[in-house]
Formats: sequence, structure tokens, C-alpha cells
Amino acid sequence: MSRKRSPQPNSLPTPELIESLVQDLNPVRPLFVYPIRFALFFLLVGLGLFVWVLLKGFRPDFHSVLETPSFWAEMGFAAATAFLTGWAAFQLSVPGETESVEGKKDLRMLFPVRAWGVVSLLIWMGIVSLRFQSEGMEGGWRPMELKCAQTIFLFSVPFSLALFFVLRRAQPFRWGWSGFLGALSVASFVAIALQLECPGAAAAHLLFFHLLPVLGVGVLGLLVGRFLLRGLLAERSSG
Amino acid sequence: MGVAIQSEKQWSTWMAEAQKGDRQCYSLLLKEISVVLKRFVYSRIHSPDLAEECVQDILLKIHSSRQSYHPNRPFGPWMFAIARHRIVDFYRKKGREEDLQEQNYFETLTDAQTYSLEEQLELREEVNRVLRSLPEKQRLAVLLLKFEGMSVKEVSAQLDLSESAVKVSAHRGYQVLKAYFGGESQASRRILPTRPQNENAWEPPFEESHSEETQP
Repeated sequence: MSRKRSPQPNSLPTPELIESLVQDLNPVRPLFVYPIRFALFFLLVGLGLFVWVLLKGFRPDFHSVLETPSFWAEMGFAAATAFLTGWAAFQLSVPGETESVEGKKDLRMLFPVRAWGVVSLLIWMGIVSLRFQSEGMEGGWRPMELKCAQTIFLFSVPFSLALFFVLRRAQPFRWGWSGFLGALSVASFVAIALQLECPGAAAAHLLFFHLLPVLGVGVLGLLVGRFLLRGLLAERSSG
Repeated sequence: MGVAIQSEKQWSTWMAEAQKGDRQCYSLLLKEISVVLKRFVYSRIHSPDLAEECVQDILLKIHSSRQSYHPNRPFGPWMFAIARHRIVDFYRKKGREEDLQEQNYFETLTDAQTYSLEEQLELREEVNRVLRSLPEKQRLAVLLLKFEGMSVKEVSAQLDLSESAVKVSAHRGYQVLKAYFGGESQASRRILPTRPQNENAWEPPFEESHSEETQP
């Protein structure tokens, strides 16, 4: 992309502006379609997290927990949340990908992927909350368990920033949604990796030290994404 | 319909070539889409000057985002998505600028440092006179918002109007005041004449506003 400052509007009539834009033209490499960029990004994140789990070692009860239906249900919805919200973040980042010509709506608008991502998150939270209702606070409120929340933030923040960098290349317009979904997706991936490593199986532990931090990262992504994606966007459009 | 699809395919081809650095294709593309964009924008922004400014803004955005277009995808949705968001952004920016102008204007008008006591009294009398000539809703909205320092929400509760109705009424009132006191807004100059030398000859043309305003 050109590093030169693009001509500014209002200073010249439209035909002259077009002429100056044509003169400013440099070859650019078009971005890959968003499914490929999504796959590449999360392959890298997944690989990084998998290496981390290998280094830290799987949880001691790994084999027995694999036989628990609740573990599979929770992991399944965590993975669905990570996948759907990540896909939606990449889809939203490309202008016109969720819209038809002249703003006419199509089926994708009626059943947007981002809505399914949020539904999946709510089901994931619902499953853990139901278990929490029957288990109560049993075995889930020890200060040392703050480490899990810390781990989620520690991994999610840099990965989310990297994701914002990737997303902004495609010029997203829905900054809040893109930030929220992207950060939520990254945090969900981290939570999946953490669940392979962390021996804490109590519902209270999962709710307060895994799920709430994931939600927190999502909200943080919404706030920071609005600022970062919009700010960077404005900077790019003016320069 | 067939023509539209054909031109969209043509645009895709031109954009793909432009991404490789072909200036001729890029020039053809920009010239052709600027016509389409003008129609698109003019149907949403009715002031020709502002619409032209917005079209240029969209062309710049398309230029700076051209790497995000994938040649295998349709060009129309990509271009119109950029256009739609730029129009929204444009309104947002213009709204902020107008708010800021109004804020500065009223700060100057009511600033005790700027005027002597006699001037302040005279000014107050003049402001009151113009305010009295405003339709009731506009007058109350301006008085409560700018002179009583109430929030839009408070005024809306007081006058039993929606917040947007309060904003619209106040905005119309500001335009009249600005026009009378020689404000800077181009829009107000277009709507009303500036204050004449012979005061008695000046009659605010409120007929239009009166017909729009209905008494509760």
C-alpha cells in the first residue's frame, strides 16, 4: 500500500480527485478470502495453545474426565463459541460480506453467524450455571485459582491484539461487534486449552475462573476494539 | 438487471487490474462508480455540496481499502457497504461539527467578558425579542437548553416531547437566532437573511416553521 498521503476531499473537484487517486495508485496484494484468513489465524493460535498445554502437561484426571458427558458438552459449546464468533469476526471485518447490493437483506442477515456465536456462549454458560446450581460453591473458591483467570487474560490480550491487527487490514466498519466477537473467540480458545490443563472440574471454578474471564475479555474487546479499530481506520483513511 | 450485472462484472475486472497497478482500468472504474455513487449519495443527502463532499470521501475510502476487495467476490456489495458506512460516518461528523459551532456561538453570545454591561442588556433585550417571535416549542427548547442549562432529557420531560423533537425544535430556534445575529452557519444564511440595518423592516419568516409545528 502507498505510504504517500492520499489527496483530501473538498480541496479539488471530483474529476481532479479521481485523477490524483489514479496517480497515487500502487499495486496491492488482495487479502485472502475471510474463511482462509480465519483458518490460518486460528490454526496458529491453536498450535500455540496446544504447545503450551504440552509443555505444562495435561490435567492428571484427563482420561477419566473424557468419560464425563458434562465435560464434552462444555468443551463442545466452548469450541462452537470459539469457532462461530471467530468466523463472524472475520466475516464482519470485510465490507459487504454480510450484506447484499443496495442494502437488501438476505438469509445471512436473518441468521447471522454472530448471533449463533452468542447463542452458543449462552448455552455454554447455561450448562455450567446449571451444574453450579446443584453443586454450589463446593471446591471452587480458592484464591490460588485466580491463576486460571490470569492465564486467560495473559493469553487472550496479546492474541486479541494480533487478531485486531489482522481484522483491520480488511477495513471493518462494525468496530464494536468485530472487537467483541474476535476477543470472545480468542478467549474461548484459551479456555478450551486451559480446560485440558487445569484440574479444576468444579462448576464454581469453571464459572468464576474460566467463563467469567472469557466474558470479561469479550467486553474488553468490545471497548478496546471500538477504539482501536476505529482509530486505526480513521488514521488509514486520512493518510 | 442484466446491464447491472454486466457492469458489476466489469467493475470487478477493473478493480482486479487496479490492484495489480493498472491506472487506466482504475481511472475507468472510478469514473464509472463515481456516477453511481453520486446517485446513491444524492438520494440520501439532499444538499449538493455535502453530497459531493461525501462522494469524494467514499472514493478516498475505496482507494485506501482496495486491498480488502477480493476479485472473486462481487464488487457491488463491497462498494455499497463502504458507501453506506461513510454516509453514516459523514452525518455523525457533520452533526458533531454543527453541535460544536452552536456551542461556540452560544458561549460567545452569553459570554460576560465579551460585552460591556450596556451591551449585555441590549443584547439580552434583542435575544428576548427574537425568542418571543419563535414558535412556542422552539422558544422553550432554546430557553431551557441554552439559558437554563437543562439537559435534553430534562427538557423532553418538562415539555412532554420526545428527545429528538426537543433537539429538532432547538436546532430550528438556533438557526433563526444565528441568522438574526449574523451566525456563521451557511445553512442558516440559506434559510434566513442576516440582520438588516433597518430593524423595523426585519420580520422573521416563521410561516414555514409555524405550519410544521403543531401545538400539543
